[in-house]
Amino acid sequence: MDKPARQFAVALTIPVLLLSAAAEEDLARRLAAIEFPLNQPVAFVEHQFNRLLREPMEQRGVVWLEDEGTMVMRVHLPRLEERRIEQGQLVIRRPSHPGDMEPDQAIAKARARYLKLDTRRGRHLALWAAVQVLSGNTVAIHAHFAVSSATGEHDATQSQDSWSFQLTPHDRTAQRTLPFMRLYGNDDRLERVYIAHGASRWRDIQFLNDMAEASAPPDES
Amino acid sequence: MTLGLRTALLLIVAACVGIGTTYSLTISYDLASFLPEARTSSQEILKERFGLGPGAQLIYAVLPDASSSMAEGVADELRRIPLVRRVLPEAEELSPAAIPPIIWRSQFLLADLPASQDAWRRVLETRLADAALAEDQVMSLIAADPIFATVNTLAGMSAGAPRYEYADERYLLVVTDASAFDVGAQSELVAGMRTTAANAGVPEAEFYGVGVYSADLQSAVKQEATLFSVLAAFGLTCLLMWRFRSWVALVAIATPMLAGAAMGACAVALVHGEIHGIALAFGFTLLGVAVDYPLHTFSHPGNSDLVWPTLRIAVGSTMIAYAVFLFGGTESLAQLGLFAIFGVAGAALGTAWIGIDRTSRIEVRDTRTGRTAAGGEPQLIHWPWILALAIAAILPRPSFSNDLSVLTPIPSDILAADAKLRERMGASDVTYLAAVRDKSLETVLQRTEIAAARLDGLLEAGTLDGYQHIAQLLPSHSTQQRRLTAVRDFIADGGTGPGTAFARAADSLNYTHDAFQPFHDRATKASVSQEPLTRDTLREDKDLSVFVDTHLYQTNGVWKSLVFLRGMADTDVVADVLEDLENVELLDLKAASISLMADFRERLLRILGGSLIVVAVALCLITRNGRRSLWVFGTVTAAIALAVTGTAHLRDTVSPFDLMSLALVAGLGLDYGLFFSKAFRDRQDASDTARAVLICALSSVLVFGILSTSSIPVLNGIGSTVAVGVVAAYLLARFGQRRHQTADVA
Repeated sequence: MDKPARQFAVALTIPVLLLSAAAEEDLARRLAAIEFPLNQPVAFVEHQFNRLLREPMEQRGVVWLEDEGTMVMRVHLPRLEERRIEQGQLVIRRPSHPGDMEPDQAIAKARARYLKLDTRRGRHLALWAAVQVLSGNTVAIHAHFAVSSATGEHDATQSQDSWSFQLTPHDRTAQRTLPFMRLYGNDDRLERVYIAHGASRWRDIQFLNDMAEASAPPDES
Repeated sequence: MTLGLRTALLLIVAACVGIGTTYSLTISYDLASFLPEARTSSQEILKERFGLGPGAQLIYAVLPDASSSMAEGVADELRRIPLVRRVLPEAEELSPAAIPPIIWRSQFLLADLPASQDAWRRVLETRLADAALAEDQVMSLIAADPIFATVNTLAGMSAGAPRYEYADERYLLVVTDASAFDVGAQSELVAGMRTTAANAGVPEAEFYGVGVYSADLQSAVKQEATLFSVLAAFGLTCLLMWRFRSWVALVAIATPMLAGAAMGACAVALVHGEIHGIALAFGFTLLGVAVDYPLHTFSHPGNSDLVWPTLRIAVGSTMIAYAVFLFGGTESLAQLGLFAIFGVAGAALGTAWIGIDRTSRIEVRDTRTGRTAAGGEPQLIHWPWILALAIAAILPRPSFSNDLSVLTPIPSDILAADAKLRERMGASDVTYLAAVRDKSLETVLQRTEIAAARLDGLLEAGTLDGYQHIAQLLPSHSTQQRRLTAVRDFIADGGTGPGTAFARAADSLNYTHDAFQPFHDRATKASVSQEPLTRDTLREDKDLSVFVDTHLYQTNGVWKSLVFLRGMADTDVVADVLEDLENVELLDLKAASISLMADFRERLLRILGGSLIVVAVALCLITRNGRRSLWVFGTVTAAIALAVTGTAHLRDTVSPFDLMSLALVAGLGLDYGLFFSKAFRDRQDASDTARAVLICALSSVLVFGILSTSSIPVLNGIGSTVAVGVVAAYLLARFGQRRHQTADVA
């Protein structure tokens, strides 16, 4: 490379690095700014797809943070189920015969099933990451994921305050189970989490404004 | 022949007999064989399954503060230890390859197929929820086994609660190949595990489980035994050297007992072929009386003729007393009796051989005071007995303990941590289990299935957290046939093909039309060529055979199926649910253990009482002196009463093992009583006898007094019981006589 070309390359690299650093700083700031108040249930709708299915399966329910590090997802439809992410494990309670019982009562009586949140192998790593994001634990996120901007994922209707990140596990083993997950939000609010598990398996969780949508699909009319 | 040479010859003979015996004698550790025959079904099951529960071969490892990678590193290293079969949680994914082949091949025999479209929809909906949280491999499993017959069977067999599948990796469950009673293997295993954890950077790792405690107990016993042996040997050496001033005499005094032990072991080897560890340990304890024989002989230098008439009576009556153990009703007690009888006989013969040369003289320290020449004609009734019996009667009745758990040497904080850990891991209840029995294996399996169906109701109601039984892995033949017929009907109706109940349910949940083709293919194959599941085929798999043998076994032509329960909130409710089922019973093993020990205690008390009566009669016949016999009998009885009362007040309780050691108190009391009540030839004889008995008593108090400081409750009990008994027997015998009336005493 001749001297002018080298000077041009250096001149170009410096602003790119500076811009990149600024973008990372912006991402980190955005991530840290996400607010999810404690003990306030938020409605969600989750779509899942795997190779056994013709169309994605839909689940609806509410999610809340009990304290920093504990997230509860209670699925109301199509059947009652509670997923509690706490202390490195996923505790699932699925009442077999809820009958006329109140959801709290039915969940309390259901037998618990315990699954490990394995951050090394990537098992349920996405749920663990979601808890860290909602709890504002950016240090843990950065420790396990490379955070980058999910450019091109915005649609035209999105406002200037909309943002999206892609979290990619640092660990290659974890990447086999969780290639990446994406977070979408607006200002300080997380709106959607997309989790890619592989070529034909994904989950898409959207947080809703209307609590009524937790137990019933929105009126199509 | 000199004393040294005779001692050396006796030692050689004893060593030859001892070494020869060790080749043919095996030592057993099954505590159940020591206990009396079972009277109730709970006792029967308890004896049959002693130490063979589902947790007997499990060790819990806790790795506090270890990171995930460190914990997994420790688990990987532990898996390399030869005696370790599995370490849970395992890294394997839930997939068809992770299911044992025999279970995978028999999936259609392990669960009922749903009978309607709604039932299929509920099952397939649950699989959808599972799929949402599962890995890719689980999709293959769902496609081949949508009712999760194989997964649920494995989950039901899990040693702990389901949380063990993937939970906190700092809690490891180690499945070992070492029997709970194989202390050597357990020690090797536990040492290996501790070293492994330390090398992997987790030196503070904690281990819990039956094997760990038996290994630690063996280590503690070894340490204390070494310390006590050194202390006792030093004390005895000082005492005997002070008395006899001869190293040869010292060895000569110890040799008859060694010869007796070799002879006792040889007799047990010839008659029984094996000896129980407790019989051996208590046999040596009872043999403690034999140390007195050479002490008496050597305390009468040049006049051992004066000793033997009385010593023969003492040996004979002790053998008669110990002979009652032969009729104790259990093989182990008979072994104990045989060992003690031949041990005493051997020691007596050894003493006779060593003391055969009456010209041998051992210098004995002369400590005569002139006041020691008491003895001779005993009183029929005298005040020390009355006082001793009065004390024993006035003091509160001794609290007999039948609870083996109070004898555990495991520190209470470890026990508390163990209980907490078992609760956390969801281990089976060790107190209660349900037992099903019948002569027919098929009937036992059918009744187990009925009992399980009822327990399912309690599971739903929250009265029970879980249970394990054989029928989940080995359904009855009739259930297997019914399920196979259902599979054939399922295939005949089209299986998962279009228009079937299955297909409509799957379609309503948006499954693809070929999602369950693997399931259909497997069902088709099973409908034409399914092999039945049998106990023998399951036992071919090493992991499954442990489960099968723990939950199903046959004794005396009767099959027994055990249902292990977990997290029982109300035992009465569980008992009520099982009440009307024929030959199904909820057993309380803790109560069974206590009642069994109560029976054992009563049997020991009968043996002791029988021994005393037999000895009293024998003494009357041998000595033809009713007054003397009654006096000796009273002395021994009063000493035993004081020993029991003293032990009860020193240790708050009297265990069956304390009662066993009273046989030694009786033997020693007999010895002291006989020697203090013999007709002395002269003042010298009286003085030598008094000093001999004093040395005998001092040596016994020294050895057993040291043992009473043991931190191990069983050893501590033996030590304090014998020490108190010896002191009581000596004082009662020594001061329980009227002054000598013979002519040579002034």
